[in-house]
Amino acid sequence: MQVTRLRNVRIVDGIHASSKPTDLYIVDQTLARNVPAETKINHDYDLQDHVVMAGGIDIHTHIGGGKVNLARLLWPDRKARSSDEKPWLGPLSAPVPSTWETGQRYLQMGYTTCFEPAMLAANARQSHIEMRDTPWLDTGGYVVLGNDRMLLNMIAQRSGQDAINDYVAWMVASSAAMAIKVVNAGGIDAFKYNQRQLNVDEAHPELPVTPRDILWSLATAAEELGLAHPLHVHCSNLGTPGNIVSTLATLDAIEGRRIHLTHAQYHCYGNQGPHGFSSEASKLADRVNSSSHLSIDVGQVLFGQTITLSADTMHQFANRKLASPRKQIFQDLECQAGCGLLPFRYQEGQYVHGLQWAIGLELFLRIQDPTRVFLTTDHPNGGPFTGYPHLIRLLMDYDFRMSIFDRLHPDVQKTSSLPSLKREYRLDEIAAMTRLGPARALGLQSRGNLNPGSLADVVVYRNDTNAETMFSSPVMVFRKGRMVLKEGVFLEDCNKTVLVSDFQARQEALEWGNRPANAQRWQKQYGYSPWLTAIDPEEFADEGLSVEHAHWHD
Amino acid sequence: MNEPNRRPEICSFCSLLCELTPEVSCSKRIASLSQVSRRHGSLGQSEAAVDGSAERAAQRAIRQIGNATDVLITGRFRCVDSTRSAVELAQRCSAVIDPWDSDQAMHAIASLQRSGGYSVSLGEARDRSDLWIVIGQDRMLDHTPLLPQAIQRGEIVPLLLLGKWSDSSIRQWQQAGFEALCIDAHLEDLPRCLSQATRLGADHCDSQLGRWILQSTYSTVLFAPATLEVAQVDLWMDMLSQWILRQNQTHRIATLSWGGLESTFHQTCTWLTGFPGRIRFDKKVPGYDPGHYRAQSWCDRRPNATSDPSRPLVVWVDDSIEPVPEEFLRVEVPKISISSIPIANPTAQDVWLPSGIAGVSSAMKAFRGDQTILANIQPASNQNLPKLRSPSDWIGRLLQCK
Repeated sequence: MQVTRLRNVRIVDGIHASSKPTDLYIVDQTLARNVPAETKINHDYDLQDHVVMAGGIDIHTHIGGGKVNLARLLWPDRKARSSDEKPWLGPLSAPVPSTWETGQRYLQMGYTTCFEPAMLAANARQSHIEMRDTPWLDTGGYVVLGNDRMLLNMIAQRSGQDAINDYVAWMVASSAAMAIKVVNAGGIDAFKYNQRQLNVDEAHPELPVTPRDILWSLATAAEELGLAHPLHVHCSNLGTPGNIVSTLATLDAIEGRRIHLTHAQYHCYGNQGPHGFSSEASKLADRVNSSSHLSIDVGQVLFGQTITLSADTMHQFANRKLASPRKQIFQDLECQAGCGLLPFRYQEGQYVHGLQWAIGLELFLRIQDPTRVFLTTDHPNGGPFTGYPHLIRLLMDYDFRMSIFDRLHPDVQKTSSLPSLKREYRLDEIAAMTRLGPARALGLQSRGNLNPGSLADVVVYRNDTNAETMFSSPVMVFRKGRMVLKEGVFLEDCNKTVLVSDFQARQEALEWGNRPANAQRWQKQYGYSPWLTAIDPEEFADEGLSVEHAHWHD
Repeated sequence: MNEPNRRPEICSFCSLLCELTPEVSCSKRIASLSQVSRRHGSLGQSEAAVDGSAERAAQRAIRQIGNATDVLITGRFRCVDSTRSAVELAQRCSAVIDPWDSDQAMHAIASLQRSGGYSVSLGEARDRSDLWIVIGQDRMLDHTPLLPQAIQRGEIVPLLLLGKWSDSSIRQWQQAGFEALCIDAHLEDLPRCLSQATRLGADHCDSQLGRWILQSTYSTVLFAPATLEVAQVDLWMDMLSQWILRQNQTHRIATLSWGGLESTFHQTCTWLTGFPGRIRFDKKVPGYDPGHYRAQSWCDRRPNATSDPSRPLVVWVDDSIEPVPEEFLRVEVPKISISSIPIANPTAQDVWLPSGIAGVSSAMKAFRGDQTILANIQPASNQNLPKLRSPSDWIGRLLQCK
């Protein structure tokens, strides 16, 4: 038994609010508040004036899969990283860095668990393998449904919810996913038929199906299958002025079922004001505040160069002329979805970009419960994830926030309500939005908190009035009980875990692919058997990964 | 549960990665398997000798790597597994890494990096296309003989063959169920011709080719960069991509650029390092220079190791069943070859670490030619082949000591 004692620390995990110094023990891979007096302490650290949090959890970050790798490929003119002993302290080499750099950079901020939110079933193996090659992080992914032609046909043919549940169960199980994500329900497929927009109650050009039908079917499947994470929704009309109407219609379509709205900042726009583009963040925030079954991640915009990538080809193609530099990649993929990539530069002096920045912050500041609003930039879409410490400072420091606001386009300063929002996040609220909340939303009881028995993913930060400094350079990071980073120096790699859903019926779910009628339909649709792309759990063992299941506790 | 349906047996002899069924009969697979059996058979007969000397060979290889200060890792990588281990070895040795046959793939990547494009995966194109435009020549079918069957969805669909196609190739497309029409065309000019044919739009179009394209609801332009005989593939692809992107402003059309198994290297290397290949590691950090770190150029600059103070060394990693290329054999630099075929006329400094065939005698993960599906390929079940280490096993052995 290996025991590490962290003495005189301030525990901040969104549950325990005491500011009194206390001791925290790491016993092998788990946490304890005390150990028997005779226990031998192997490592003992006095950490007065330090804050201890659980490892950070990023609920929505594009870190593995076809479009992520295309984004790496699209950016060859990157800066060479300096080759001194701490190269990760230099600038990020590219908006979408390699798997090696991704793992290093996340750990260096104290993040230990990340989720790729857009795995195509056809491409799930690649997503998992890339994430396996991302050191230090435990990972999982959400399978993209809602534009897969098999599902659309089932809904169109009124096959019934039971049949849809069976199919969804198969897709989640065979792609080893944590959850279901829907991207512009039906819109990606409609674009393949040359339709350029699809509203919530508009019919698909070829099938008697509307986005409302798709959303309802998938939200019902997620709930009836008992998936830990609710339907993860990228709404219709991303980035379009006036899209608050379709966003609220999307929430209505779910009819009170659990839902997670992703990169919500891009979905709460009005079409008023001097440029026909305005903030409707307060409407969405009010809705979140009054609906306990609703959570969001923000998708905050941070100024600078990035690459936007999305399965939403319909809207990425519509935005192609905004690419900077001027190049773009689009793909229609395997009767399941698509992808679009555009390099993009968010600029402080540009009205729309400035207002997007303010809208994201408005959402953070208006939503009262920090366990239901999660800190993301929708990496890399709003900006690279390495901007999180800066974003935390924006939330914790009103004056700092205003110092940037004052540099924005004059019309943003005239129209935005941001100056009136004086709220400054506390440390426990930051812990709630970056640890506890995401863990709860994903059904990961042993992560995101410092309860006795929880996994010993522990981050020690030096208390600092500058939150950006504090959150960009933890003093120590422990992964599964072992110290892997100390004062910026990586000590060792750690065993990695893949996180997958646990709805009671994985074996039953996989039976779907063996039923002759299903196998024949699949073969006819794709030209190969259902088992070509299905992931066998043994593959994870072959890759040296352990598997952890998420549970839904209402 | 019908267990035999799990883990389909997958053919690894071309980038279609077909699932094997009684109906799938492929001349390339039959010829390749016979070749593999012969090779493995001869390896098997001398297995004891190889095994006995393998450890000594590994020790020599480890010493050579330890002494070298200028290392190139090259070869024919066809799977994630070999690429991963080779990249790790390159990082440890501060080596240059680039596949031997990377020119065509790098041209395609260069075009993508410059212009982007609009592409479609095989399954989508098969399901959605109501017009196929296939650009190329017979070599496309030499590489992937079952491609016509793979893109056919079971109904008659029009298909235009543009380029240089023999009667026998045209028949292959027709026999697969396409209404194939061949238009003999100069490949170099095709992107410009397509652009010309569609420039006036659907209402005023003055060419039959243009009308076909503009009246289709979803056209797919299929080509294979590695088999295209055009002078500058990257510029050719730039022009085609620009035309495709313009067309999509009003109607739907996409390219299906078919890559070989070597694309697996470029994909894997990209996620591991951020670059598709042609990199050199310096203190574990990759530096990308497509001109300078090309494997064949590295060899050209080092014609003779005896006069080279930098103690050069080439590590050849080969997942394929092709003979080692003559140009590589002519390089007078010590070589460590991890392959199923020994180096012809080796020098005293050369080392051979005999490996099996990925996908046949050992498991591998490889991308289908459209780079959408990463297949998990298990060893062939009906081949009675001796167990030999895979290239990644050998590199793992070398890494233990580096």
